[in-house]
Amino acid sequence: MHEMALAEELLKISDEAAASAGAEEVLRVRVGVGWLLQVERQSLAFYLEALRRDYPRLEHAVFELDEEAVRVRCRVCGEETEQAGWGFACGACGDRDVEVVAGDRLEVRDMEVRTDDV
Amino acid sequence: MCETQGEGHQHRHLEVHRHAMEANDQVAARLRRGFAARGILVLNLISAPGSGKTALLERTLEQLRPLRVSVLVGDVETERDAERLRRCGVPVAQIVTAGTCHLEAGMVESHLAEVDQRELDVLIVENVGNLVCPSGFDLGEDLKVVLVSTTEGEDKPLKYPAIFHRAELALVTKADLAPHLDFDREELLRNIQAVHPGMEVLEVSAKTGLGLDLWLDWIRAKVEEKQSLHV
Ligand SMILES: Nc1nc2c(ncn2[C@@H]2O[C@H](COP(=O)(O)OP(=O)(O)O)[C@@H](O)[C@H]2O)c(=O)[nH]1
Ligand SMILES: [Mg+2]
Ligand SMILES: [Zn+2]
Repeated sequence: MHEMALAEELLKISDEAAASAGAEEVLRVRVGVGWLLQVERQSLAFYLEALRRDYPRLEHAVFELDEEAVRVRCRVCGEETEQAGWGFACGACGDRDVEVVAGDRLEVRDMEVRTDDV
Repeated sequence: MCETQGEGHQHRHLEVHRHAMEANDQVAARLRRGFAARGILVLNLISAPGSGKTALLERTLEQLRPLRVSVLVGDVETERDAERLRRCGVPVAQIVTAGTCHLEAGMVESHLAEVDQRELDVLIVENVGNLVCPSGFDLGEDLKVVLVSTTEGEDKPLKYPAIFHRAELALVTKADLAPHLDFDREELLRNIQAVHPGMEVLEVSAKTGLGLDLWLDWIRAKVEEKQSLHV
């Protein structure tokens, strides 16, 4: 994946969310890194650090990059199971007819911000 | 929303749940609706640089007639591939990404006017040569096709699993070279199936023409499928 472009999007989304909540400063951002995307977390962290000077609200924010495992839903038995590697299959019945329901996104989940008193 | 009092300011917790590809995905969804409304099949061809995307298209575009085909070809620099493909007598638009290692939906949208969509059955997008970056960028296509040449090594699917997982079809290109190489065909096919069980695989050579019929039939069948959904 293209870590620089992705870092830029994460910064933009975090900054927008902070601005629309009227926040002065972002303290912490929790990011879910889907395993399926094969994002290099170190590279992503590097670009977040390098690009955030364009976003004053994010200057001191701590970015937590949490890996999110792939989960699939089985179209045969309906069970939802976590996957440990490629070649996805239902963990309950073994069928290959599955749909990825988690672990395929890079997401800003939530954040801690500081707002000045009015 | 939990709020804690500080000295003249508050800490607040915000639930966000927005994902990094959302801007691209919105454009891709818009493109997909437009293609569906016109019954156009869109294929996104992805491979490492030099796996033979342009050569394959050069050999097959003319033979797709009477289907009406256009190509959007992405490259980091130069119009060379577009010039090669225009000789096949189909409308071709070059997207020069100027450094970006993948195509994004917005680039496709801004070049669509260069190919006449009213007169089209198939739009083929030749992505920028790269097995990693293009895989996550939805272009509004129906299907991704991944190409891997016999000269690249049997472990490509294991090293770049995301694209093999996402693509519908794998084309093993430069099949004519296989006898001259230490190419372990079975090993490559096994690795593809390990990443994407049941994946369709076709072996082709743009040089000798081997397997090209099956590739053309595959496209024709997908066009038929798409047009049957289009009322
Ligand atoms: N022997 C052989 N060479 C091929 C074949 N297909 C492509 N090539 C060569 O591989 C090189 C790269 O091909 P090209 O189509 O430009 O790759 P692209 O970067 O994926 O578009 C060129 O020198 C082609 O002549 C093939 O089927 N057999
Ligand atoms: Mg090319
Ligand atoms: Zn099941």
